[in-house]
Amino acid sequence: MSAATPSAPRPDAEPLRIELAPLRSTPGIGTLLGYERAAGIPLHRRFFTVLAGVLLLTAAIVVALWWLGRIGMLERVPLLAGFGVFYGLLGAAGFLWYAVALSRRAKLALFAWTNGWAYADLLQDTRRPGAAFTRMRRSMERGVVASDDPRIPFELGIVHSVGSRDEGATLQRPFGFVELPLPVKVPHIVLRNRRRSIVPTLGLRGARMDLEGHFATTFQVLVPEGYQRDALYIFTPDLMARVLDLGAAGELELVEDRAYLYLPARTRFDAPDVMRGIIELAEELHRRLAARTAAYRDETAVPIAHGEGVTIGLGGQRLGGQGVSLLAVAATSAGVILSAGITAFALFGGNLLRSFGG
Amino acid sequence: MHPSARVDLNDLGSVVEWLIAQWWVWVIVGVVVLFFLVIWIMPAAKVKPSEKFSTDDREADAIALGFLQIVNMPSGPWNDPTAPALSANDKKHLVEMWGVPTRESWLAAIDRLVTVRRRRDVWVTCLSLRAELAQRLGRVPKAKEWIAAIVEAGGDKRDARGFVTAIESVEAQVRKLVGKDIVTPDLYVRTLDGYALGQAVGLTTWGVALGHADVPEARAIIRRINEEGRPAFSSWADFGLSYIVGRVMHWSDGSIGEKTFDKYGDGWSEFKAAATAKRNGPWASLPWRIG
Repeated sequence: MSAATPSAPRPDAEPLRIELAPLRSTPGIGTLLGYERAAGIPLHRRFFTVLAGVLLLTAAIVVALWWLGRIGMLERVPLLAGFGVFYGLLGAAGFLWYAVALSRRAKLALFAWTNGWAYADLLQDTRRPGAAFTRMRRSMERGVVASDDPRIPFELGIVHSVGSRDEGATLQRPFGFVELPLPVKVPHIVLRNRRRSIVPTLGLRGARMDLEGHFATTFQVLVPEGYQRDALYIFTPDLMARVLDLGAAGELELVEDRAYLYLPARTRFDAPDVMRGIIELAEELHRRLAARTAAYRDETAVPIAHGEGVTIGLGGQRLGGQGVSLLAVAATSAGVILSAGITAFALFGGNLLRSFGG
Repeated sequence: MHPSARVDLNDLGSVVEWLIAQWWVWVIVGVVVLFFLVIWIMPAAKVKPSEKFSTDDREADAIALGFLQIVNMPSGPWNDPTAPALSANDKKHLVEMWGVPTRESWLAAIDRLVTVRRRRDVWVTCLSLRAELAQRLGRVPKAKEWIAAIVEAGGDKRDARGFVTAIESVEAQVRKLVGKDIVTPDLYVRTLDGYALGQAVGLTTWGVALGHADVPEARAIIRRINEEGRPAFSSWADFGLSYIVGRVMHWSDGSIGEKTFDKYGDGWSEFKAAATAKRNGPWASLPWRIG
């Protein structure tokens, strides 16, 4: 670790101006259709195709119920009408959910394009180095905004774990993320949120550190063994104070030359106030992290053959293990308990019921 | 009486006897045997180069680095830098997949492949440790020795075991399918850069088809990729092994299951063709070291 004090990056002459107006207006149908074309959304996922699908489903249900009524089946099995109404409502609710998400993404795209940033409606298998990404077999990112402005270079979006034809999805709750580049590679550090963790840290090896004051009540620092001093070097009190602004909402991870700000999936990037807050926080974190890490060197790293670009020792590159999702642990435990319960009831249920009955 | 009435279905011998006596059974057996014989006897397809471009000079040698990527796409004959087989749909798909709608983005994508090379620090370090250990021992290190070296360098033992097993299993699959005469037992993976470098050459030729550059510029870019990439490898087979293992490791994230190799390691047949002289494979005739 270098003892040299890094200098803060030179402030840019022109202050950063973010245009939030596109997030304040509700996009009309014309804007939605324009967005679908500009974002290259395939035909089968476009607004009118989905609408036509829902209307067809509704029409099919109405015709089926009418026919069942004519042949007298509904009188004999009235539950069929219940099924019809249930599926009709399910289709309507699904469409509403889809339309709201589409409208939000359209706003986000307009916001990105207005500010001269790139936007992607859907990205798959981006293979970002963050621990929450690498543990997923397949990931799908929605509404990704990317800025290459040197004052605030970032990418943000919402990530979902998805399955494929051959294998199921990794159990991982969806989450929002903001990716920030760092000037150099740093050891793997995870600031785990004690109240609501997004990155599955259960099973991740390495040292667990409790830093000072309020910080320790909200965050726990996970760092590879032997890199505790390096973590303290990077996370100075002023930086920790800013990270605390994430509060109960998020987590932070430094890995390779990237910083990840993880946020709950419900984060409304399309809400102007939320977006402004996130951009301001990201800009400040980027500036402070850049200043703090620019002069960082891992003095334990030894030069290796064909290892251009590897500046961190093997022990510091990654926290060992994959990290297990609490959701997966809970689901597995529930499954085991349920099947044990069913087996026990099947074997001894009769006696049990009899014993209750006296 | 109907002939099948003589068959006692409770007696397997009787059923077999009856089957042997039927002419159509022999026809089916004959067709199946003939099918497998034809496949066995038929010579494997030869590699067809483009007649418009050279196959034995420095330019051919340079573009041959992208053989696996060009043929796997497929975007045309391996020695054709204009990727003539790309359809309008293929081009649209490539632009979307690689994010190369403009000349600048195309050049940046090639540059990323040549410099960043899809590298992951942990994998690079572990493979370098293997190479250093091999140099010290004078042979390919055993899994146990390699894992011990990783742990000694500060790596996690369980993760190291997973990575070593993944690399060795893919390596063994490639050796078995391509042949020990090509991927010799003393050959082992030291870097996964082959995949990114092969892709860089492929992407350069696709850029010509997309109208981002002309042939002379593409040739110059391919020369640069060769100059920067080749020194890390000792032979075509070394490069090919690195390409296939790199491809499998990249797309599987190092998590190798039963179907992983079938899914991502399909380039082994092109590797075999490229390295076989009888099949007109360019890697069999072109020298690895240029000038």
